[in-house]
Amino acid sequence: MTGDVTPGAGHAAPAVRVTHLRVSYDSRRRRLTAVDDVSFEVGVGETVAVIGESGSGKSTLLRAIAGLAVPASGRVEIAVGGASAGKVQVVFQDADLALDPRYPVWKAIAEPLIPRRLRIPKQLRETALDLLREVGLGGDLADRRPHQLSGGQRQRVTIARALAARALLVLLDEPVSAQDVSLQGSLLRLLASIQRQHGLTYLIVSHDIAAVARVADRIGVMYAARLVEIGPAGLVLSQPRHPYTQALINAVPRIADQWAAMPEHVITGEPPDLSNPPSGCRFRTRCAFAIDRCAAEVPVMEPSTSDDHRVACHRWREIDAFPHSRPALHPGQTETRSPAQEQGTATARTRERAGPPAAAQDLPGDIPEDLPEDRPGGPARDQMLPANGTDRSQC
Amino acid sequence: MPVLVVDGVSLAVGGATLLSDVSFTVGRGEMVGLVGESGSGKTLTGLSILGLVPPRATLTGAIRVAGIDMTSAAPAVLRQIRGGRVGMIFQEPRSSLNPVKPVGRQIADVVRAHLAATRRQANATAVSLLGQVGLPNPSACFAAYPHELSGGMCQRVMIAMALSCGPALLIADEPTTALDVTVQAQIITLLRSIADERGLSVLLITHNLAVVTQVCDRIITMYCGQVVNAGTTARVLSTPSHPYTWALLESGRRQLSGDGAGASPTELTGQPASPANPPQGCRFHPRCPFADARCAADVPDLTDVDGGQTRCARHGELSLTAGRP
Repeated sequence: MTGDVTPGAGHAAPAVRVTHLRVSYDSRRRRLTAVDDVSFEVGVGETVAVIGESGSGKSTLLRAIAGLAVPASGRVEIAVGGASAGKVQVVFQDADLALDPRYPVWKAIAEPLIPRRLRIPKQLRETALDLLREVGLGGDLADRRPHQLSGGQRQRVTIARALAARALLVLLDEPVSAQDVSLQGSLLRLLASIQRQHGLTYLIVSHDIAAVARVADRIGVMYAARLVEIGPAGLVLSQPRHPYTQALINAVPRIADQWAAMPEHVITGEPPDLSNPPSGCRFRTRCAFAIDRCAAEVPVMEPSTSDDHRVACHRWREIDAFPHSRPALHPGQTETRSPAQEQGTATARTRERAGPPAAAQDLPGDIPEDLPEDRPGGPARDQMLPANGTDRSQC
Repeated sequence: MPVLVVDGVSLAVGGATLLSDVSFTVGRGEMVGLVGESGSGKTLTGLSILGLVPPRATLTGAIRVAGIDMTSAAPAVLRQIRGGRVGMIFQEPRSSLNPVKPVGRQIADVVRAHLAATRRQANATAVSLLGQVGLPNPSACFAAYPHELSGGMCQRVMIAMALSCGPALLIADEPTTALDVTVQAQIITLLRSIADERGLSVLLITHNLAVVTQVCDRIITMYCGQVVNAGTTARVLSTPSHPYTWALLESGRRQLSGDGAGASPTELTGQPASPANPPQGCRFHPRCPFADARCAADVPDLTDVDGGQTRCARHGELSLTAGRP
């Protein structure tokens, strides 16, 4: 959201530095590592979005950074606001659960100020009213209870509460997922303007790459507890290097220019069971490009085409930057099409589909000819049904 | 004859009119998307088709499924139609399944409730259906409990159950909203191929216009308890005839474009209107970038346009194409 921050590693004083973080949950029968050897930084004033599907470990990562989950190993360093309380605030996904149903709105917002006695009670209400206005809500809502608000209004109240504590780092868990598409835009704009005014640093976790594409400076992608790719948002969206990122972006339904746009390259199978993950690269069981090395060796994060765009894949050099037959869009690119242009695009697409698949277009269907065919197995079908009663919903 | 006819349906609950004059049809083998925001009445429309309206609701108008009038049918007839002639799948597959019964048994129960089948025949049907919806190792899935399956697998089980009695119509209410995008892509592809293979009619109810444009033959847009726009997908994509549909398309097209969070002229602002307390005139006019004095005065009729219908007083003057008007 702010252009003046140099994103990426090597920034002088990152707001957050996560180093080889590992977080595990233990139960009687098994140990489940939800975050496995994750390292990245968030610069001051930057917005980093971590994308992942259910069970990828993104929420656990956020909880560990918030201090709500204890790391098994590795470190989380937060450099904003020293050690003072309240500098890190979490805006949870479900604003319904995050607000006390008995508190009127103003009190919910002022709540973080009460224990520290920063204001005398009369001023508390004034402060709360100011914050309400700042998040675009009228002062007339101050005495309502959460159940009298719409979902979008409740979400704004939780954002106001984060501001009340004078937060410098705000961790947002699925900030717009519960909103209708037409309301997502205004909430994202609000988050951006608040960030500018207060110099906030945002870490967003979301399953919805489309929703956060508009606000993130950098995007990280998690798969099965590991970070597999991170880089500037425009690069990750337009030139994803990891086969999983490519599949994820491909799976986002798009409004095509013309009908007959069935999702073309549907990734099959489901993510692995984290209590018994595959060896080596965890995506290899669903990856069209997997070779023996992928099973033997865990890929480490390495710089790809630029230093700040890093990827954990043995074969990223051999895989086309973008598997879409659809044109990739990236920041700055405007989209104005005349019907005539649309026709042209549609024709081009139809032709592409009729011809032989270009390399890397099919995930994980056909193996491109220039790749060795000795990959071990296809998608591990048996992995789709977890053995011994593993509860996938918990992951 | 269409498989589903909804004709002039209005539904009031406790004095609030939540659906006003909703009319549309779904033909044989056709996949129709019913799109709208929260509170637009799309789910209530789906429930009305099945006769599952709230207890004190008053429903007027006609709903016919395969020629049977659902508004006047006896409870026994309705029970045979629900799950028999009409299959249903819902947003949260796990909460639609019985947690303490193996999923295959649950499918077999549906088969036995509607068709004259022995337990053995019903079980065989269930295993076969589980294979048809793309579950690996169907006999192992048959014995699995819902908590042992992922959300996507549970939704496949729900689809198998909905198909178990050879329905003429499948009503899918937000079938992929709770699922991850990669699983969503798998499920909508499955729905489309099932519809094509079996000549099944599908009413896909969702807030996600992008999903609808990828799989549906026709799109019906609802706003504030009314149908505001209907048309073939091709027509709606190229030249939408209602500003609301157009705005939804434009905001959808901008997704993934990463063009910053700046306001755009096509962005919808404001809250959706409430059908319990609708605005005067066109219900969309307070949010419509093209509204004028006429729009605030009279409720526009749903009028026929090329390739569909629209409820917009200015549709003749507007040229809504991709990009800018």
